[in-house]
Amino acid sequence: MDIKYVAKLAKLQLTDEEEKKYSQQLEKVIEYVGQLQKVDISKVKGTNQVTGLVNVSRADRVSPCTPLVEGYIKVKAIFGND
Amino acid sequence: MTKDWTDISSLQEGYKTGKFKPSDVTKYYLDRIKKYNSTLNAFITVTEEQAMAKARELDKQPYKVRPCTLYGVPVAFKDLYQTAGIRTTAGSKVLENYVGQYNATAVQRYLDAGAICLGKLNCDAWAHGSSGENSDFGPTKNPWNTDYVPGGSSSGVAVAVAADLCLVAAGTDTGGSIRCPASFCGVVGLKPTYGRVSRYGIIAMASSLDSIGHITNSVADAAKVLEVTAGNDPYDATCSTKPVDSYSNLNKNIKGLKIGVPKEYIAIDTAVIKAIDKSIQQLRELGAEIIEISLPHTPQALACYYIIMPAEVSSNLARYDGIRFGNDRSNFGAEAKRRIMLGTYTLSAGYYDQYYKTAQKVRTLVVQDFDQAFAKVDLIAAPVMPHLPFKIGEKVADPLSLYLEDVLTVPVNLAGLPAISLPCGFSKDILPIGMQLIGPQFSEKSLFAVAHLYEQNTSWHEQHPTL
Repeated sequence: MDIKYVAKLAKLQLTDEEEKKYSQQLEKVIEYVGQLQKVDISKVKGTNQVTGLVNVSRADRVSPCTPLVEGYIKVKAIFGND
Repeated sequence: MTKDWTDISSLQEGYKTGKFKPSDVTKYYLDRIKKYNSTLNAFITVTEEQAMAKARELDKQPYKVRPCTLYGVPVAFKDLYQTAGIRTTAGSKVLENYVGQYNATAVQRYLDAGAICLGKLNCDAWAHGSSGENSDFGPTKNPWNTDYVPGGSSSGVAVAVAADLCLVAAGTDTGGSIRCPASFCGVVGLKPTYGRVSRYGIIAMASSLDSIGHITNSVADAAKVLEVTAGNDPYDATCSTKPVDSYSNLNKNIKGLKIGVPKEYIAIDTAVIKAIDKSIQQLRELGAEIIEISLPHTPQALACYYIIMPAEVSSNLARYDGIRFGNDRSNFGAEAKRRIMLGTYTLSAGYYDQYYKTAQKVRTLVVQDFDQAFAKVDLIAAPVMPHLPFKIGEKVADPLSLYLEDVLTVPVNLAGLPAISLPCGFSKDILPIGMQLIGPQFSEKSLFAVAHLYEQNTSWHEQHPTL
């Protein structure tokens, strides 16, 4: 693992000491998760999420607009007077 | 005042009969927080003024006038739950001064149901950890023995309930973060089905795994709280539209109920093995049929989790740039940096197929393991953690050794299942042990009923630490 490159991609600034420590620790984790290479997944589809939900959207209903004043939409003031 | 309630129903009985008022109870808990928080470090923020204001407001509207499910129940939230006008730190220095503008849906539901918020609870920063030691606000201590970790990441959540600093506490479970501390502190921890409770307004760790649950003293309380928090929320598209069951109806005859014991879910400490064996024997005596099952991809599930989770973490934490809110990225602690880099690496060009895509496929195999198991059994019983609580600092130098502690909790998150952790024994040094019951998606009602029956026939939940 090229720790300098990964830290740059992740927008993290590491000290030399951190680079050394994290690369040792992360190599161990990567070696551990590498065991998945041995699992037979040739006939398996991936799972992105487990809800079974597809295309969740809200109902497209027209709701009343705030009152029009002389053709303009009147809203509350955003800034105070001070 | 002397405390003569043990759960929500006895508390509200006291309100009904006028034995005490919400302000008395709130004061009782605030006094305890003042007395014990400096030792336990469970709370990051205590909202004394707001809590007393809400309590006095409830004093004027007695339970008889306004009977709501959580009337006068003092709660506290893991500091990932955004609370309007009260800072939300995620246990990280990045957000140490961040004050949100709105309440998370879950927070709003607690408050609308009459709960009183006492404050915000410590946790491993960004919910990264299984020990409670990764908080940038200092480690939380286990109330059973303050030399030991309380479990994580919802460390303050379990400790606050176990040490009687609040009655109910709200947490999150991405890979065991509610069940692990509940087990280490001897309290009841619920991780609902993925999508049962809205994630809106709760700081995301790994969005396809995050589950919003709570820790309580009893199963009945856990059921009552879920009736309040569960249900569809238009602000969270992954939140289920399925109707919410009446969870607090806990009567169930479990005669003939099939409970599976996965042969791969093996604890390592003998005290844990013994306690789980005894609990399973008790479930059998209560009428359940115990069947050995196999979840063959359990070891791979942990490796799969440690690819998918950091990948989602790295993208969720990419938004903290220190420009719009919060401090800059140099404020991330060691564990957040490790997970961000791990995820960035496995998602980077050239490694995506090898790691992330492979993990997604292994996730399917983990889901299928559970599907096949639930074709044979109604529920699964297993230990929560392979070991007893360990000493603070024991596993800090070797992150992988701490990751391996999650082996029995993460498969449930990968499959989006509900699970409940129950106190089921103690070690000879009086450290708590937990058992988890796992069910198919949306089977919370039956989980609660079985868990309640087990609880009624044991006394582990009645034991409390002496502070």
